[in-house]
Amino acid sequence: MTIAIDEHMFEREHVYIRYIRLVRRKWLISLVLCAVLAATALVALSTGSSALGLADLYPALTDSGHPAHAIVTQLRLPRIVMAILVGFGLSLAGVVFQAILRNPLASPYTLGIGSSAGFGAVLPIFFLPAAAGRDVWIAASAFLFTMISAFVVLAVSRLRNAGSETMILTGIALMFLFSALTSFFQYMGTMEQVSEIVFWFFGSLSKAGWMEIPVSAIMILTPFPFILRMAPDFNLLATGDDAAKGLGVNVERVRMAALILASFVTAGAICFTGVIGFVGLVAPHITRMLLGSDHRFLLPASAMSGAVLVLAADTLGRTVWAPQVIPLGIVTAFTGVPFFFYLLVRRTKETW
Amino acid sequence: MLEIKGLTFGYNGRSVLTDIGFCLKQGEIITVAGPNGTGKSSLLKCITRINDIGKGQITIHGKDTRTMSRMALARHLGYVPQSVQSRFPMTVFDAVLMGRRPHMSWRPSRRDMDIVSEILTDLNLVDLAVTDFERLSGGQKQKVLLARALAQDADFLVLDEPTSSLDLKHQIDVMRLIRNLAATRNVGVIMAMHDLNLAARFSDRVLMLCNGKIHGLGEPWDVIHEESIRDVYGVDAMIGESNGVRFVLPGH
Repeated sequence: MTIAIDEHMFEREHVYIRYIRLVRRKWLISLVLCAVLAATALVALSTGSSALGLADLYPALTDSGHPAHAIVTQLRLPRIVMAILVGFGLSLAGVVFQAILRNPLASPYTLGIGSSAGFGAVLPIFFLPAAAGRDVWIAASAFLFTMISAFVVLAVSRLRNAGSETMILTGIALMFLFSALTSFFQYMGTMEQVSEIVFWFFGSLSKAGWMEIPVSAIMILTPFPFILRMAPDFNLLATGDDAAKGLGVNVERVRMAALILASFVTAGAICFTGVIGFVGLVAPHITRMLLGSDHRFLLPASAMSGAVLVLAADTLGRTVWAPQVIPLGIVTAFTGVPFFFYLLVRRTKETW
Repeated sequence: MLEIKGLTFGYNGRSVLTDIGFCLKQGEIITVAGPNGTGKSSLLKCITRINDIGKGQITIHGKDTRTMSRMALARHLGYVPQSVQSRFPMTVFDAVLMGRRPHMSWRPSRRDMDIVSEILTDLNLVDLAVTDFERLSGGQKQKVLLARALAQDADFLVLDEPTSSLDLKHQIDVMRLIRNLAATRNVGVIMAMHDLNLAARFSDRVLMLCNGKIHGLGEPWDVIHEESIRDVYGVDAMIGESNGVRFVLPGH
């Protein structure tokens, strides 16, 4: 009898230990991602038209007399910080949209946010003269239209129980509407206007400076703790609305709050840089393959891998074909897709 | 005690349930039977408050469920929906750990994880603990979902067709498990089911629904007979007996 009880306890302990090992692995992978991000940032800081050794980096950053000081602090550093913020935000928003829409194919742009932000950017390009202050209006208008489309999705789905299908359909309808409006303005516009619009849709970090960074940082980082707090609820949503409700989740409220926060983050990421595709879809999936889909780990780790992806892509984009700079949106796709395929094919483990 | 009084429910102007009233004691198993579309799932969803009830009242230990928060309700009531499909990979352990959500804050405690390990051991799911939920067979999934509902540490379980997609052996396995849990953990179970033989064999009482009204409620063979089956399903049936065990043979 006592032997049977001991065996039971042993089995119980065994299950616990196996699970804890899995959790430790997730912590480890998260830490490795942070280290990879730091290393990528160092490489990005030292490469470019005036290459620096790692030993030169510190004096170039701190000593204003150093020949590379201006390049590093005024051009490269803000660009790197912006790349990290944008990748962090888009990937974070991607995870949130995938969770609340219960759709692995969702991205920050699924609900029409990309096209509405794009249309927001089109308006100042079309109506304001090409002067120095116009970029601020482009960013403000892109932000405004992002939030407008988020609230339209919210309002329509509220009328019908806040289900994920209603949200997706509303988002798709909005996407077509704003694409059509953008096309209309492109059709009416001059050559310069059209090329500026196209450039905006490619996404670029070339306009990122120390002025824009605080604004983006606030919009991307402030919602983060609130999003992270909802992580256990996102986990429950994965098995369906009814199941989540049965486990005590206020599904409608979580979905609404998450939609607003994630739209805000997306707006912060794209209003200065344009539509950078692919990151918000693929960085979450890469991370999911690395450490599973427990959102308490997935949210911060995806944000990290998104930052790595955008930073690496931008660094490649400005160095491989220097002095030409390849638009960021194109490079993210070029670098991310092969890696994504590699993981997709190689994935053999049972728990992703 | 779970008590339902004068429950009426409908949507889009169509009435689904009218004047339902009964009690479920802890340790008791009630099966809800009846034709498709007669309101079985709706009744279960009213109890879990996934559906907002129209008229009437549902109380748990004397407390109106409408005055409770969802979290508080989830501490009293475990729910297993008809089909659960995870869109994202998760281990069996994680799936069962979700059942601790009503009791935990952001981070599961050692106690939460001990409870999950304990349940997995009890239900012989040890070997599957770190397997992906979506790789399980239908029977295994159903067991994991039961484990998850058990982790909620609730006094009552609401199960929507727990055997609907299972083969013969797994049907019996799962029903024995439910019977066993009701007895050992003193959990009250209400479940929807189509198979009248299983219902009669494993439940204390059967509630026969017909067009949203209670057609009969009582000991299984008091409710299941040729007449009631003809009334409710419009099918002729024979009640037989062999070696002292009764069975129903529909379509005879």
